[in-house]
Amino acid sequence: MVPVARRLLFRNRGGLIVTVAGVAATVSLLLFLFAVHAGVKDGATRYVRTTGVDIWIAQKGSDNIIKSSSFLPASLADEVSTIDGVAQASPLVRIISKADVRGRLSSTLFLFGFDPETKLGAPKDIALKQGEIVLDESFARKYELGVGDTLTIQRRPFRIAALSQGTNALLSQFGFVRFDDGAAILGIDGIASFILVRTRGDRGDVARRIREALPNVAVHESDDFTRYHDEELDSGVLPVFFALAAFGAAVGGLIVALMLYSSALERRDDYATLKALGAGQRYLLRLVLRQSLFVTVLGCILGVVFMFAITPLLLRAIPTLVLLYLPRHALIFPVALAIGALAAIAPLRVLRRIYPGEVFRG
Amino acid sequence: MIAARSLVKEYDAGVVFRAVDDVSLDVARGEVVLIIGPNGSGKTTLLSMLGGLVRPTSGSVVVEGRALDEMPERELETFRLRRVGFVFQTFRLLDALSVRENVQLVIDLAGEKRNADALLDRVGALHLANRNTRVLSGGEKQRVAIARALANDPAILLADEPTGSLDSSAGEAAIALLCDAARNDGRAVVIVSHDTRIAHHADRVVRITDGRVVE
Repeated sequence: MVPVARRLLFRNRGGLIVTVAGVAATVSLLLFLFAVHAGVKDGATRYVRTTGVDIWIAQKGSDNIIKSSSFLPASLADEVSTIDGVAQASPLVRIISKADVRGRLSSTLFLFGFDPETKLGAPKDIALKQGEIVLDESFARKYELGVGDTLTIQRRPFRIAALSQGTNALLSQFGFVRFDDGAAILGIDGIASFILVRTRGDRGDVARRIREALPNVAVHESDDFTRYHDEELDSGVLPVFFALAAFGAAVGGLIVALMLYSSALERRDDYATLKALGAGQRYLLRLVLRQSLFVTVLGCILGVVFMFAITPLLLRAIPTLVLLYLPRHALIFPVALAIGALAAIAPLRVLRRIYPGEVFRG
Repeated sequence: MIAARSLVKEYDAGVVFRAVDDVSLDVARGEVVLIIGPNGSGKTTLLSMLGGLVRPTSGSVVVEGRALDEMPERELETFRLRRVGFVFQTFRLLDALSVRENVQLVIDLAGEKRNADALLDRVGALHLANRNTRVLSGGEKQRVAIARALANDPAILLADEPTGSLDSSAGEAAIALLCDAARNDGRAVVIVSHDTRIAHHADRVVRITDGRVVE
């Protein structure tokens, strides 16, 4: 079979290159958006998922550490410790603050003060001294800080004892100090944001017992607590990402449609000849569909290659950026192909109106 | 093979213009008919109706016993694809394709398994098979166009001013190929031209003026 669709496409190399580049840019944009979304979700939930806490106790109505406030008496930890099945319980205080880095105000830090004895809520197994901080690695890179350097929070100097990973929620990064340092920064004694519990035996049973003993607080098992974070992030961020992705996809589709439409106009004589020779409307539809899919597939491949090529550069240029590519992001390709197929509708009206008798005009 | 009866074609561009006026024409298998007339006399419109590209306002065209005016559009496309070969004054080769591909395209469209090279060999253009049509001379292009017109093994071959863009020797060669398609293959060949020098090649000459056959 003569590859007429491809040959006609390659007759307009400039248009082909621009269109493939447009599709590639669109696919890159979509991949970028979804990778950022996955990265933000992972960054915001990994601490909750991996810190080894079985039950999170919060103020009634509070179900996440990012976007809700929670105030509890720190002494509640002692009360929780007495409940059957609780192995350890300790307070965690959360402060949202900027830091002073070499006289320059940083972006916002989510600072968590954990109990240095139980280490519940600590990002890693570390014996933190007073005046020390474990700082998110990307935050440290952004401000060119390293272990041993000092930064100031609320006029209190903190020496960086270690760096943590998986503690970057894109818009803010996490830092970890001792509970007493956290309380000092907050300026109020005896206040915790959460009570963290490690259980013995069945977690569900322990959670039920805590709820019975403390009906005025919210008791979240860690799986539920993680899910709430996912939902919270999705409800706030996902619609925006999807709107951006939809705009991107629409622009990509329009680029392909415009190319096919202008190609139908430019190659009108060729299409008239094909019609005169007996090629029907269906043949011409298949032809532009092939062209559209060829351009889309080529654009997808280039988009993926481009995105993977520039990812290390992006991460170097924007230290707090988190890009997480997931297998489900491959769904972009069938969607792109569907949009490409839809774009093939654009030139149909032009093709239908081409009159085969045009071939007799000089 | 071709029987056209009382063909009329009118165009309405504000004022009704009759391009072909009551033309009847028969072309037998193996016959070469030359339709001659000045520019604007309606000969190309007549050719378009014979090939099923244009529907007549009234009258009928019957090819191999099938009335073209009664065929729905898709059937007419299939008819053109399988039974009609066209040769155009400006060749109308697809410049995105090679010479071989231009001929192979029609074979593919017709769903046949023929070899484009055999046709190119027949018209003396096999050596051009891999070339792009843009680099060919007018005579070479017309040879390729004739090979393409024969690619679907048509019953009728319709040529519009086939010598119009050629010098005299290339024109003679093109006409010889068309006559060969009639006499050796038994196809009905209709040539439209205002070039009276090729009249001696035809079995019959039909003169047309102002849309009417004058002799």
